Amino acid sequence: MEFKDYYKTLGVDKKANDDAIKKAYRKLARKYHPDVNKEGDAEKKFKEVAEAYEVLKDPEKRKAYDEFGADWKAGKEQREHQKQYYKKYQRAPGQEGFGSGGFESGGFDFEDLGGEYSDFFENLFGQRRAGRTSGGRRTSFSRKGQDLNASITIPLADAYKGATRMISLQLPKIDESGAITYVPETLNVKIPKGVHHGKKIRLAGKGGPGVGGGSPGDLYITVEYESNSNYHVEGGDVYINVPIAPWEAALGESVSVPAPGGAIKLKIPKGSPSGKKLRIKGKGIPSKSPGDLYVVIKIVLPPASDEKSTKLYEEMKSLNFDPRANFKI
Amino acid sequence: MKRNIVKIYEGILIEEDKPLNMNQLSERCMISEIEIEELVYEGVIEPLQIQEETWIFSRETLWRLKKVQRLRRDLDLNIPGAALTMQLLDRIAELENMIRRSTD
Repeated sequence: MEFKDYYKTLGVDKKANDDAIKKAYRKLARKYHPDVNKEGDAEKKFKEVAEAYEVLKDPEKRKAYDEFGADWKAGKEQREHQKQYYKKYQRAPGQEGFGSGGFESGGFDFEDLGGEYSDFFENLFGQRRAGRTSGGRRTSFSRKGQDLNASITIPLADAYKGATRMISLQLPKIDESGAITYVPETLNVKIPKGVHHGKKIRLAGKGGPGVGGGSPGDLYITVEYESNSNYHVEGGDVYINVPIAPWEAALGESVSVPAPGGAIKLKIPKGSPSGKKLRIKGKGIPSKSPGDLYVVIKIVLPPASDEKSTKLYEEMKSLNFDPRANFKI
Repeated sequence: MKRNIVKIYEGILIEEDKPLNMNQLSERCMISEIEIEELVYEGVIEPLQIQEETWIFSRETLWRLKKVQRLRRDLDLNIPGAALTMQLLDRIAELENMIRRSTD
């Protein structure tokens, strides 16, 4: 296990006061908050920053970290440190975390990201308990388990036909000692026909376990379409970019187009320019009032790579076609 | 031959899911009903039928509200601050969609 330098994570000095720590946290949190920053590693960075702040903002935790964290060594010696820590603060390993209110005292709620603290953190301060309550109250009450998020990327064809897709995720379970552990699980999830990009599917009861007899939370799966430069979707309307040969566009021909709902035969109107949109009503994402399919024509030139094609292009010169006849800047 | 039985989970699309009332929303997002009202008046979230005596909210509001709560907690924002942040995030998403469409 790797030692985590929380001071370095926040970019503050070891002697930094509470205000400086808060300021550094706020600045980094605004930058990396996963609701604000959509870049791939933002969430990871934010979790690191939040974990560092969780420790350094709390005088007791900070002291413990400074004492036992500074000369951190992996393995056996580290377990000794942990034992000493628990002894000192009269807390047996396996009990509720450190300090009043445990890990609920503000800061980032890892529930929402389905994440957890680093192994380093959990070794130093103990694991989060399933029975934790906010504000440190330990009264008998029940609460619905946490809702979890996951996402799944589907090919566009799935939205047309519906499908069953496998999704692998870590689901929280309560073990015998009452601790939350994350267990890998693979679920087969039915993708409903007509699902739109960005919509969520709720699987009732597949979220986190309930507290004190409360019912389990739900699992919400956000459905995203595979991104592909050959199509884009606006609401229920689907735009596909279809390569067309110059003569197919100039002369007007019937072509077979591999549309997401299955191949379609399409008559290209004579003299279609590149970028022309052909609307096929009702062939967008299916629903009671389905969207439309737009075929966007993209004329592709054959290369003048051999004698025959070069000769044909040479011949076309005699057409005296001026592509810039009406072109003005 | 051994046959594996594969369980297939069928969820509910949240737009077709049951709406939530004020109390459910408050409990699920750990937010007071008064604060929910404030967020409605700030225009951050909208009840399904605003004229009704008791408000009900779509499931999508649950997600919006959870995001508001994360922002408030992690960045220590007050309600007008969170409202401005949400408005700007919505605007960014809108502009990103426009860029994506024009570069396709």
